[in-house]
Amino acid sequence: MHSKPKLSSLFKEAELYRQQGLLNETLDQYRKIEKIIRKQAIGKNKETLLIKITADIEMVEKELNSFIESKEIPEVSEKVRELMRTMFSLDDPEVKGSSLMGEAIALAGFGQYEAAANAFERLLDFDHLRLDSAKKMLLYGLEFNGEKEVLLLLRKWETDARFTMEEINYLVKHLQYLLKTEKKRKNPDLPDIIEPESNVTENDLIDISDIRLRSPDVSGKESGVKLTVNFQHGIKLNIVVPQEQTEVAHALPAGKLIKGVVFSSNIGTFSGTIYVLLNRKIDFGPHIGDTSVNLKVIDISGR
Amino acid sequence: MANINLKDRRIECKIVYYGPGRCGKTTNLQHIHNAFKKQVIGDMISIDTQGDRTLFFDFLPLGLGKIRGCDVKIQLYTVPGQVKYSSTRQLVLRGVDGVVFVADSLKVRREKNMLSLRDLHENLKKMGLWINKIPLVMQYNKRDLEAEGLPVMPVEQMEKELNRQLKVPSFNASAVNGQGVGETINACMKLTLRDLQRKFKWAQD
Ligand SMILES: Nc1nc2c(ncn2[C@@H]2O[C@H](COP(=O)(O)OP(=O)(O)OP(=O)(O)O)[C@@H](O)[C@H]2O)c(=O)[nH]1
Ligand SMILES: [Mg+2]
Repeated sequence: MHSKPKLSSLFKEAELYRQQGLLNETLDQYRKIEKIIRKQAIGKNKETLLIKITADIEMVEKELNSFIESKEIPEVSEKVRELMRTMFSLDDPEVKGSSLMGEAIALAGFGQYEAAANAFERLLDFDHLRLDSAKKMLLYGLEFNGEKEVLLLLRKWETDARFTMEEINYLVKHLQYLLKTEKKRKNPDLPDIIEPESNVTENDLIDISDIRLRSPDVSGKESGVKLTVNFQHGIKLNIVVPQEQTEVAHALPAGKLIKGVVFSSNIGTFSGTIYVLLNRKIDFGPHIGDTSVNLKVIDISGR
Repeated sequence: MANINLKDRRIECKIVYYGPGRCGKTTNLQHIHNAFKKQVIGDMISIDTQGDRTLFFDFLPLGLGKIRGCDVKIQLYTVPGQVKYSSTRQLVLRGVDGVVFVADSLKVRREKNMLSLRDLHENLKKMGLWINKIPLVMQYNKRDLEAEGLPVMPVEQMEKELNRQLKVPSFNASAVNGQGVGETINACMKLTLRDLQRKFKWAQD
């Protein structure tokens, strides 16, 4: 048995995380402390400690929420915008109007969509830049304002004398292409470049029949989700997450390291850590619509 | 992309500090700004922060004077580490010549380091650059926190998890105290200039 950690040092750890601006980690630490107090402290001291820890938790939660609620990308002052433009524009003095184009792309990249759209709008006047600007407006419009707004934009251009019929047709096709790639972009298959090394050797590992994830962001419940192992090859496991459990599939993105996983086997249960190698929607065969997840066992210990 | 003018013998290149949120990128630049007065040739610009989180980027221009017959200027940038600012990171990376990857030594940030390194890899790839080709150095920051009693990862573990495949120069640092900051940027500048020499043959013998 390891000895009980001292509350004071646990509090100090939380405080240091907070100083670092690591709010999620601070909150985790406070929650850990709260649990320990509930389990171990006694008497009047317990009450005092609980009041303190509850207040601490509330305060950090408030701070976290203010970050989440704050507008994701603020509009910045004209002076700052000027900086973004000059530092990041792709200036090509050979092409008239193109420096404005570079500035507009830079502004859009920094999330300053309104300012960027104004610049693109002005570029529509130049014959040789019209299509490029319109394409950019579709691209960024889709990102910042959504599909509906972009369709309105196209409708407006249909009656805009600056555009020829061919140009409009081209832009309609281009939008269809953008919509398709946008969908793909939202469900990327990321390669696993920094896969952690496993502490388990291939031969050490017993046959695992199922795994249980305890992490609350997977199920929200303490009991966790049980997933049957579909296939095991050494330390690599494959599971198939049925489509009814999409939230479980989403909680297992490629590249995620998950601790506190319980492995069941015919000789007992163990706990350990897994790393998600791949998360891919199955688009053919009997499991169509389910998600196939490849996992690597990083470490394992008895219970 | 470096701006190289062989006729006037001028080089201007760009080094970007990358890494997860709160790992100490801005702190690195602040230390350079305060401690390397001779090389600093302009204001440090920190655009709009929320608390002290970077929302867009920090910028600091350095002048190294004449190196092998060329006037060398270096622009330092930091990216915002928070995951949601991905498009800003891509913009700041544009035209990058060298990268400092700042990793957070705190155990609780282990996964964030790995995800950020992967994000760097992805964003470089989008620009046709490769993480194992670009001049890159690693910094394991916040080493001082071990003495404070916080769980800190051993350097060997960080090497194994972040640098096993890349095998780039790595430095321990404590950016708040300035420790390791100079070594890190010096190594990155050296690699970057050497890489530009290979590509553009700017140096005079
Ligand atoms: N103890 C300690 N704290 C550090 C160190 N480096 C940075 N910090 C602290 O960590 C916090 C975050 O530092 P920043 O430099 O703002 O981090 P950043 O990487 O720019 O963060 P983002 O802008 O959000 O991406 C600040 O409170 C710093 O004081 C270090 O070496 N040791
Ligand atoms: Mg910063």
